[in-house]
Parts: sequence; structure tokens; C-alpha cells
Amino acid sequence: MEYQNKKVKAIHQSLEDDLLKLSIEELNSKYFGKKGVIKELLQSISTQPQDERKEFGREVNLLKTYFLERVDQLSNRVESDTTSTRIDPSAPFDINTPIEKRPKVKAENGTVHPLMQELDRVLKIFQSMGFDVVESRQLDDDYHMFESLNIPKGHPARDIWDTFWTDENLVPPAHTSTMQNRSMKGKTPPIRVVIPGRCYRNEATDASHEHTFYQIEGVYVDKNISLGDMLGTIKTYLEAFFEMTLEIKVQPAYFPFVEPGCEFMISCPFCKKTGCTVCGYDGWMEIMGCGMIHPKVLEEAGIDPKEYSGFAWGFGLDRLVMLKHSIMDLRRFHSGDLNFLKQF
Amino acid sequence: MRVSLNSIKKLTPINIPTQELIEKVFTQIGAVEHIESQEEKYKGIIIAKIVEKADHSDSDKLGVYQIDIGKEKVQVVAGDKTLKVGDTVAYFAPGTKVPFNTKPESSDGVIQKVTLRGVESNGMLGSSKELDLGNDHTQIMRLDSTFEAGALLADVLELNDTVLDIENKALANRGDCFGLLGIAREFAAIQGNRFESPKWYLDPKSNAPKLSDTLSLEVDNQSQINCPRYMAIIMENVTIGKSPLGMQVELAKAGIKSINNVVDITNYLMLLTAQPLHAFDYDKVVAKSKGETKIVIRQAKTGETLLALNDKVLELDDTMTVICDANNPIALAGVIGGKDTEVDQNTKRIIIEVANFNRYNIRKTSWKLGVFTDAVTRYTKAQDPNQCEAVIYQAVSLLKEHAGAVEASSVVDNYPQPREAVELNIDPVALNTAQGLNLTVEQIQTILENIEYKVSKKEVLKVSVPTFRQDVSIPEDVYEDVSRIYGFNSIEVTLPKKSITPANVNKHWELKAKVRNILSALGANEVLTYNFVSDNEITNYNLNLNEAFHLKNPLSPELEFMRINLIPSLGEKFKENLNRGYDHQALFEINIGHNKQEKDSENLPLERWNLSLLTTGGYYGAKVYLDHLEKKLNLRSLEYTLLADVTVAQLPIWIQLVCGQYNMNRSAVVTYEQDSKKYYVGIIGELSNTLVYNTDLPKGVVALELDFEAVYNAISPASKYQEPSRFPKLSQDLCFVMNKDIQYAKIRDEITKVLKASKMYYELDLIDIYVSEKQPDAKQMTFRIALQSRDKTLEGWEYSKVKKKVEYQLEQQYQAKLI
Repeated sequence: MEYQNKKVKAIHQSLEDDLLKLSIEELNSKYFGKKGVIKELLQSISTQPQDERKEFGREVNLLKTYFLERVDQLSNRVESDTTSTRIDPSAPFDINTPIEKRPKVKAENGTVHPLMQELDRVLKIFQSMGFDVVESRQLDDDYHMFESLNIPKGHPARDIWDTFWTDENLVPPAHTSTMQNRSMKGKTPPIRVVIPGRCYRNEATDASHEHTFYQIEGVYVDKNISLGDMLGTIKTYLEAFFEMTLEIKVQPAYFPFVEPGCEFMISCPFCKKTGCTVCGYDGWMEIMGCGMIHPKVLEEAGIDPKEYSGFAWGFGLDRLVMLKHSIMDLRRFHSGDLNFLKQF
Repeated sequence: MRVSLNSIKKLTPINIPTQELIEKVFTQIGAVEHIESQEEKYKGIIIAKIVEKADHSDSDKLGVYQIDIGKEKVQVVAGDKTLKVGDTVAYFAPGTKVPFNTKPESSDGVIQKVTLRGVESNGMLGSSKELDLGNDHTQIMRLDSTFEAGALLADVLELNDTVLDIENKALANRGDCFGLLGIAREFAAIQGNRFESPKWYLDPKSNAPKLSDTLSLEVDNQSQINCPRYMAIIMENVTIGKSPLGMQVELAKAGIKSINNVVDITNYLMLLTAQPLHAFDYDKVVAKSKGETKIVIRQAKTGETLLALNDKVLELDDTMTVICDANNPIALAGVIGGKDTEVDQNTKRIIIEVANFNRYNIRKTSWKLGVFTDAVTRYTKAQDPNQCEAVIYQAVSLLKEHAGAVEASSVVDNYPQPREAVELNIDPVALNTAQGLNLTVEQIQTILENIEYKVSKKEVLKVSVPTFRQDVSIPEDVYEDVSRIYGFNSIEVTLPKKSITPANVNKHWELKAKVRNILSALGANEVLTYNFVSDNEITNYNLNLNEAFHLKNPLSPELEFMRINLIPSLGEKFKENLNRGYDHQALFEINIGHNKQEKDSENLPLERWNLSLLTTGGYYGAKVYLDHLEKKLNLRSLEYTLLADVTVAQLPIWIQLVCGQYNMNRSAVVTYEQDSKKYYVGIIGELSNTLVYNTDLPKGVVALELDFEAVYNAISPASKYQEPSRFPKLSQDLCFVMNKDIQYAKIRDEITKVLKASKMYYELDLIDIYVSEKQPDAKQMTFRIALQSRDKTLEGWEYSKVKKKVEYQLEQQYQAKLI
């Protein structure tokens, strides 16, 4: 805004300087107090010569509006961090803090996330069975997520997983199998490892679907490992987990990185096959996918499939914890809701 | 894949009860998603004959019919005036349920006795749509005149049937099982029966059509890679009409609606063999290419379009394969046909296409255009190019039988590289070892021959894999067939024989578990939050959006970026819990953030595990947690440097990226020293004023971010245990005054040095820090020093000696004075 009147113009210039330097109180008193500069200008309108009065009045009022707007903006301004008082970061409390106001922790109702509590228990069982624990990645490449698992680029089996991709073609893994190649590469069997981790699927969320969830992968490679050994190992783990004996059965399933591939089912641990809502009155529960590791997957990891064989599995953790606590909505786990968390 | 058991029975016997069969399908083929009893669906529907016909006096759309339903005659009103006396129809008596409810919003599909414009209607006559046997709702469905009035529809149409819906996922590598022949083969094998494909399928030459040269068809295949085989023939003299009722019913049970005889025959053969077929209207093709009879298979040109059968205009590009007339696309290869060359009521001559297309290319095209058809489902599971011949010959013979068609050209076959059968050597010992089985060579041979493998027996079995089994390429694939058909559940459950070496302890995981326990015991709550955040959750938290990985296909804009650190996620959860009434909160998470700068040894984004905590109470409200961790984990002494006093460029990259979140005068970088080297552990402090302003977090919110690896490394190997003394303790409070800028830690460390040197047991506690208004530059710190001798009762003078030393040292080093 360019003011024509010399006096108004001069005051505008000094105002711009003061806006940077003065506090809001100082600005108000200097420009808008009883003897404030703008106040005086307003009063002087009536004393102007008749022919200049109208134009002068218009400019003075514009300046007034401008002043009020800027002060208003400044009063909403965020205080710069540089004006904060320096603290002594090494001290346990601030200066002059009375004893009752010193930082204390509220010990009641602290909690470990239910998924992590259960994961810890699962891993302890596997460790007692001789499995090492390696955690999975949260951002991986196409090679580990797909190619090393006998799923080349463009393979229709990729449609089984609704995968997220970054602009760089990195992938938040859709299964913990993304760690299979790493868990075997450069190692000499016997290899026994469980791999817990986050998985991500690009699917709409509802009470029983989440885009983020936890899986636990298992890999076992040695000489003369059979399908029967896979059934026995998984059964042993599940019986330890559910603390009861279980009946098992498997159902053929297709995953390109195993041959054969199976869905592993157990007699419902909640009703012992008498039928309940958990198993949908079926008596059986589908608990995980598993299979004998495909020779191409072994080869890709530098393990000779003629000498060694092995099995692998992957199962979801979230559903087991839901069942255990009768949690109705999968989305609670990542809700961060203290009403939920404080119960565990 | 919907499978009618009656359809299967036409191909192979089923000699076990349905329930047992379903159980076997479950455990030996794949999950059955849904079991539909056709009997239930068509219950009570009766065959009726029209005996009298009259117009409705009050409507020119309704007809009034007297019908014979066997035992009696009844009157019904129908919205179809074209029925003639003698026509055979399906009749719903009042109380019967309609298989396909055409007005689901207004009724439950149960037929009522009604009066239509003054005329009573005792029930209803069904259209093909209402019967769920077709798509036509404009007229009443005409049935075979051979059906007797009063018979049950379910009986005459073989609807006393069960339809299994086998999960497609379980068959994802089994292209052959997307056809009834493939499923029937499996059903035979799991019952222990030998399957034999029909003669026209096994020996196509026996079914070859006669040669004709009435018309000639030229095929120019320019996309051999995407189209390994292309077969076509022109048929003339076609009469478009209804397909046989039996075929309509079979299609209906598979979920495919009847259209006309030509289209139904192509669909029926696809249902049977999984091989998709397409019929073009020959005259429309020729007209489009101005008289030329030529089929060109080529890559589409970018910018070309095709009006598809689904009435959508598809924008093509050069990755897609198209079937063209002499010039322009008439179909998207293997995906969908074109509208312009569609077979319609007036079609007289057709081109039948039976081709094999590259599954990868089909998948890419289908995803790009969002077009998913039955053909796509089948092609993407890989189809056998060798079966094209049998299928096209059978199509010709069905078209002759049911559409009056006649061959008008010879069969064109473009198949430059015929697919050979895979030959494998199967060692029974290896098979038994790998599967945990104990089968004889004969048992293995029988199982494989039951599903039409050719097996010749020597020491090892020489196995020729049928080419319809595109999924079998290595011995392990054959093992799978054997153990699956023998029964996975017959395998003996064993445990691997292994050495009793213990598992390696994962120390990081153990530390995480320990930290979780410590923090929860201090009242903090562990949360798990998404890796995905919005752009606002990055920029409002003073982070640089360019450092965050961006998803190409996020679920929503709120989940578009991979988070750089955990603080934004914790901040958002903090606000939500504030609204739930939790004023005091301490939320923590142990998880991973990613940034574009840091890479690991695999050159992938570095995955740093962070321990992050967000709480209230200002800087010291968070530090109390860190003080506890330091003690409980026995960490080396942590050092704190005010953020305002560090050179940001010297910090580790991850701290550089996040330090903008913190108020520099009220935050500190946390380090420890080992062998005179400084190691960074993390950052702690009050959030920046701008962040608080932008995010609406309350003032005084304070965060803590630690590099988990650094915490692990900071654990001191030395035990701090001391054998307790039984002698009394002497204790005094000492107050020192000093310049206000001198840090607590300096004084503490100086006193500790003296106490350690005394060789006595000591306890050192800070009681108070005080700055008076009168002397704002002077700070008073009061310490409680307790001393205890290891071997005797401590004398007052001995305490004073230590106290004097402390006093002297603080005076010397920091000009601090005891008051």
C-alpha cells in the first residue's frame, strides 16, 4: 500500500519497523493508546483543509485497519523456541520445584501391548524347541518379497498378495516369507529359525481385516526332512501354545515357494470339536499356511536341494490374540486407545 | 470354481456319499467355500402346460392362462402375452420360493396368491432370470415339450444336485482345474479311480471337421510371444437361437447365464476344458475391413481404442495384445471381445477362435484396464496350448449339432513351437523320504496313472506329464500329486531328528522385552501404530516430507507416506486419548521409521529400531523414564547436551532429521562415553512451539527417542553390586551455591569422584535446586550424602574429612561454596 499523504506515509514506515521490534503491548500504547500516533491522526482528520479532508481520512482509516490486522496476527503468533528458558538437561528436576511437583511416574496401569505379550510367549516356545529368533523387515525389495520365493516379475501368483509399493519399488512386505532367503543364505543346515514381523496388505480395513498385522514365519532345513516332520513340528508348537493335545489335518493350498503347500488345521481348542462360535460350529480351525520349501527357493539361497530339504510356515498372530481375549475388532490393536490397552 | 456334482458324474463316477466326497475335496484338493443344494433352491417348482389363453380385460400387458399342473388346473396371470396353448412352463404355486428374486427390496421371494387388476392369479410362471437359469426377464421361459405336467422341475432338469464352490486361491496354479474335466480327474483320483478323458479330448483327430474351402481365412500372428497358438475356423449357415436346455442348466449351475446357442457353446466348452473360446460375427469383421478376410494378432498401438463387450471404451497401449481385422482391433486378446463384431440375433456366419495367450501378458493387461473376465481367470492360471485342437474340433461339432452350422473354411492353426510333454524321473525312495510316506512303486504308479500321467516302470519311474498340467515341471511337483492324492492326512506325524544344541539367544529381542516390562512397570503404555502416515503428520511435526518414502498405491491419503520416526504416530494417539479423558499419559512404542538417506549393508533403507515415548510434564517428565532405564538396564552414565549447544551437522543423520521437532532450549542430545569416544543414544525434550501450535498438542508434551541399538551397546558389562555393610550410616544434607549455568551432572560427578576415593559405601541424592529472585545468577544445590564404613562404625570426624574434601573440590573446580 502506497500512502500519498506524507505524514501518513512516514507513520506507516515507522510502524513497519516497530512491528518487528516491539511487543504487542508496546505497539498498542505507541500507536493506539490515549496519545497514540494513529489515534492522533484520526483526531486530526477534522482539522484538515476541506479539499484534502476526504482523501486524508480514507488513508488514515486504511492505516488504522492495517495496524489492527497486523497486531491481531502478531498476538496469534507462535512464540519462537529461542525465547524459551534454557534448562539444565542433566538434572532430575527443574530449579525451584517443590518436592510434591517433581516428576514422578504413575506406576499403576502401565501395560505391554497384548500382541507383544503373546509374541514373547510364542517365541519362548520356539526357542525352547531350538529355533533362533530373527525379526523381519518393514521395507524390503522385490527380490526378497517375491523373486527369491519363486515368484518372478509379472507372475499371476503375485495377485495373492495385495502389496503396497513405494515410488522406488520398495515394498512393505506382505508376508514374513520376505526373510526366508536371508534366513538361509550363507548358512549351513541345520537351520531352525522363527521370524516374527509386521506385514502389510493393501486391503480395506474392517473388524476382521487390517492393512497392518503380525506374522510369524518358521524355516527348518536339514538332511532328510519330510512332510511328516513338518506336521509333527507344527503340532508340537501348537499344543504347547494352546496347552492341550490337538487333532490336526492339512488341506492342499497353493503358495509358489512351497511344494507341496498346505493349510494347517487344528481341532478347535475352544470347544474341542463340539462346535462353538470361534470355529463357526465346524470343529476345526485353519491356523496357518505351510509346506515343503520349493527346491528353487533352496537353490536361490545357495542350499543344494539334492542334499537338503526343509519346511516353512507362516501364521498370523493377531487372530490368536483376538480369540484368546474375545476381542471383536481387529482394529483395536493399532488404535492406541488407552481404554483398550490398559486392560492387558 | 463352481462344480456341479451332476456335471462331474457325466465325466466320472462318484461312488462315495456326498458328505464324504466334500470332506475329501477339502483335504485333498482345496477349501470348499460354499455348498449349494440345488434341490433346496428349486423345491416345489412344477412343470405346467398352457391349456387355455385369454387377454386380460383391464391390461394390454398381462395374459390370463389356465394351466395344467398334473392333478388339477389353475389360473395364473403372467406379464407375457406370447405364450401359446401347449407351451411347457415352470409354475410356482403360492408359498414357493423364487430361485432368483428379481424384486429383493419389496419381497422375500415367496409367491403369494394375488389379484392382478381384478383377475385372480394362483401363483406365477417363471422367466429364465427368476429360475436363475438365464438372463431373460421379458418373457416366461419355455421348457421342453416332452416334460410332463405335474413333474418337478428339479427332476426333469437334473437339478437334484449339489454345487461345490472350490476356492480359486487353492487352484491358483492349476489351470486345468478351472475346467470340469480337470476337477473330474481329481475327483476320480481321490476316490482311487482311474480317470479317462473323453475320446474327443484325448484323440482330437478322430473328431476333426471336414475340410471346406467355401471361404478362406488368413491369420497373421505378429505377437508370437504373447500368442503361442492361434486356431480359428469360419462356420456358415448359423441359426442363432436357444441352446439346448441341458446346456443352459449346466451353465447356470456354474454361474454362467445363457445367452444364445453360439455363445453358450463357447462358454460350455470353456467350463468343460478351461480353454476360453471366442466367436466373432464373420460378416461384421469383413465389413469392418472392407472385404478382407484376415485376422491379425499384434501389439496394440498406443492411442488405439476398443469398444468392448462390456460397453466400455478401452484405451490400449503397446504392452497389450489385440486381435485385429485387416486394420483395427476387434478383441483384446484373451481378455474381452469387441462390441462391433459381437454375435447377435442376425448372425449367419461366425469365426470361432481357440487360442493360447501368455498368462503374464494377460494379467498385466487385465490389471491395467481393470477388466476381469472368466477368460482372464483361466488364461492367467496357464492353459495348455495342446488342447486348443480338441476344443476347436469339439466346438465345430457342437455348433453343427445345435446351431445348424456348417464348416465354411479349413481350420487355421498357427502353432510354430509345439509344446512337448515334460519327462521326469521319479525315484520312489526320494519321494517317500521327502513326503514321509512309505508307498510301493506300484502304488505311486497307480496314483499317477489315475490322473493320466504316462508312467513306465524301471528302477525309477519314468513319468510323462500330461501337457494339460502346466504346473508340473520338477519331481517335487509330482511328489505333491502323489502325497496329496494318497492323502496328506495319512502321513505319519514325526519330529525331525536333531542335535540338542540350544537356540541362539536373540539379545535384541530380549532387551526389547525387558524395556517393555520396565516402562510398563513405570506406568507407561505400549502402543503399536501404523508405519503409514499422511503428509500433514510429517510436515506438521517439523519433518521433511522429501525424506519420507511415498507409496504409489496407498489405501488413503492418510496413509500415503512411510513414517520417518514414531513421534507423529504417538502424537496423534496422544490427542485421541486426551479426548478420551486421559490427561496424564505416557505412550511408548518400539518400532521402525525409515528415511531416504540412511542405507544398510544390503543398500536397502536402514531399519533402525527406535524406542520412542511421549508424555506430559515437560522435559523432566520424560527424563524420569530415562533415569529409570539407565539404572534398571545398568547403562553407562548418560550425558546430556542442550540441543541449543550442539552443532546439528555433527549429529547422526537420524537425529538431524528429527531434531526440528524439539525446543532447542528445553531438549538434549543423549550420549555416553566409552574408551574416550562419544556414542549417540538419542534425543529427549519438549516439543517445539511451532509443532505444538501446528498439531494442537497440549503444551508441555515431551518426547524421547532412542536408538535401540545404541541402548543395547550402552549396557555396562560391569556389575555395580557391593556386599552390604552391617555398620550404621552417617548422613548430612549439604547445600552448595554456584553460578547458575553449572550443570547438576558436573557437581554430581565431582562429588562422586571424592566419595569413590574414600573407599566407603556412599549414597548421593539431590534434594533441591534453588534460585532466589534476589540472586538470579546464583544456584543452590542441596545434596544428601550418606557414608558407611565397610568394616566399622563410622566416626563423625571421618565423615567430616570426606565432607571437607568434597567442599574443597567443588570450590576448586566450580567456585561452589558450601552454605
